[in-house]
Amino acid sequence: MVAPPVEHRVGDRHVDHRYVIRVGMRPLHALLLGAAMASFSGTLATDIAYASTYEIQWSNFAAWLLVGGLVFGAMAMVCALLGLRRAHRTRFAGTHFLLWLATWVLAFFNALVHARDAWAIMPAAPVLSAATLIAGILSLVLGMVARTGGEA
Amino acid sequence: MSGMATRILALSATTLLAACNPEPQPLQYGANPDLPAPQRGLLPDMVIAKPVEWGDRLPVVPDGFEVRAIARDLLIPRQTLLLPNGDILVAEGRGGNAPALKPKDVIAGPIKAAGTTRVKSGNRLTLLRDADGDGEYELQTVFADDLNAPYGLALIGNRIHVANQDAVVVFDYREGQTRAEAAPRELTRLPSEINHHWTKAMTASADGRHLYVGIGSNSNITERGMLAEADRAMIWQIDAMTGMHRPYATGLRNPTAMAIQPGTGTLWTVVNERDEIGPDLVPDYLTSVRDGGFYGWPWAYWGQNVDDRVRPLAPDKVAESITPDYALGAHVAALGLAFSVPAFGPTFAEGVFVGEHGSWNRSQPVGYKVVFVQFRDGAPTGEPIDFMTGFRDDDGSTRGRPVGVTVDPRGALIVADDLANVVWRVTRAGGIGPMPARPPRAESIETGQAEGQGEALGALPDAAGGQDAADEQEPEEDGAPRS
Repeated sequence: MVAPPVEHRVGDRHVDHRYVIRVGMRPLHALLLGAAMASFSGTLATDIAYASTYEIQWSNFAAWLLVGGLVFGAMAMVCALLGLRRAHRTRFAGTHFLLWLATWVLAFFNALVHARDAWAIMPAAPVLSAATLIAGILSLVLGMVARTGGEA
Repeated sequence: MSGMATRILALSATTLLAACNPEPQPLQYGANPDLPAPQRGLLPDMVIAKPVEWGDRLPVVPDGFEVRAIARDLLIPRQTLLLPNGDILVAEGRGGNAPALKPKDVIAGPIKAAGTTRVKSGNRLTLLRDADGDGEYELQTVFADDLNAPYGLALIGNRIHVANQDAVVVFDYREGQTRAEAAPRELTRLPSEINHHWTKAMTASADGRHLYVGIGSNSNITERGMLAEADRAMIWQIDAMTGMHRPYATGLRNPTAMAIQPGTGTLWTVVNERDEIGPDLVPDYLTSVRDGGFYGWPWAYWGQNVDDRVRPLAPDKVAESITPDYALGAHVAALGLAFSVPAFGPTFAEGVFVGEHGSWNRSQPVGYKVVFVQFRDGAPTGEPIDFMTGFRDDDGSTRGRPVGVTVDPRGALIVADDLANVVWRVTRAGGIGPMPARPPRAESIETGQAEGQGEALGALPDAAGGQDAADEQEPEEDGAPRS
């Protein structure tokens, strides 16, 4: 089902809406996803910092960033769940939810790995951090796509 | 998160995830334990003691022995010191100021605390006295307070040394005294930053010139960083007169009790080894301590087994790591050590008593008892013999947890129980002999027991004995320096 072309005025130009991805996500949902993704990115960055410097403080930062990601991520999951309601569905709402659930579960296991002492988190920690981040990005992108070209 | 919510969350998660942990094997004892490969599931196994009252039950002791509580309602008794007149000093307290560093600490802290006493740290020494020698310690009085998590105790001559969690302090002592006359003076500061392992075990050398103080590591396995481990995981030798110190042996993760071997004067210690690489790793151990020796922590365990959790690697340190003498079993948490005397009868005549506080991270709990390790030709041999059990039931109900053990040369074992807040005394059934007589010595220090205190001691045969330890060869024989 392809939406009929709709012309919008953006500034002085006319835009063919078929070529625009509109963000269909609600602001709070987007905010929480952003916070979680920032935390998960930080986890990967600090894991890499620990791996390359042996400075244990990076590992502590990673463990706490992961907790932050899990907390924001859980709240975002509630938004994703509410987003499954027909009236609020974005185009890939179901896939977004499932992928976000997978992201969260990966992050949870990553948190258990980060509870190990010192170098015992290696090499699982950065691997899981990267997997979490990739799953999160996929979920985020799919979640942002609006239901149809015209309507959010 | 409330403690209860934490516990429920942790318990349900444990059920789900601990499945990947290896099944514990029978404990490995002795000089050549069979060590499995390191393993760890996603969650460590945690089986926490469920504290219950003793009621009218008593610990179980071997045939021919009897046990009774000689002090109750203490404020976390840890180590005890037998004074020359038979009085007993009890160090009471709880130390450590390690902040929760990782999310794990926030969750695990309250869970572990559930298996310990709720009582507040006593920070004091209590004196117990049995003036008439009937085995009933009718006097229980505070000898000194305002201490800082006191643990190690040692008597040299007329000075009582107390290892607080941050310093060794000294009280002048006259036989018969029931209360310190003044605040103690500080002999030396001890490493106390963070104090992940805060207990400062202490004993005096046979000649009374030195004190040995055990300083535990500041982490399980360097998870607080290597900087936090400066001056940690070692035994200091401290000059008892000047307070000057030097590292005597290093790489000892948590030397929780020390004792001098009668006859040889050799220092022995029990060490609590690292966690989280499986139920059968790493055995806590009993070992003689070599001057200048390095015992592996953190880079290696039980000799040259590399602990891969430590970075940067240090192959040279691994290579020099000494294998300890005797494995007591993984996670038993040995916290007490005392050499026996022949008065305990043939089975227990030669060897050491070891107080085992008990495990918290093993699906089949171990420890929670006092064992006896027999010595032959001056070295430990055979399997540990249960000497005092009944602290924990199979359903997890735990009435007590042994800590410090002290041998009374008359043939009694004094055991501190920091869960029930009791001091136990095990004697041979039918009573014990008199304090071994010691010849009066010319060099006896002035004991100054003029103010009536000396009379109270008259009941004990050696009350007049001096305590100058400077020339002693066999400290346990005559009771001079003890810890």
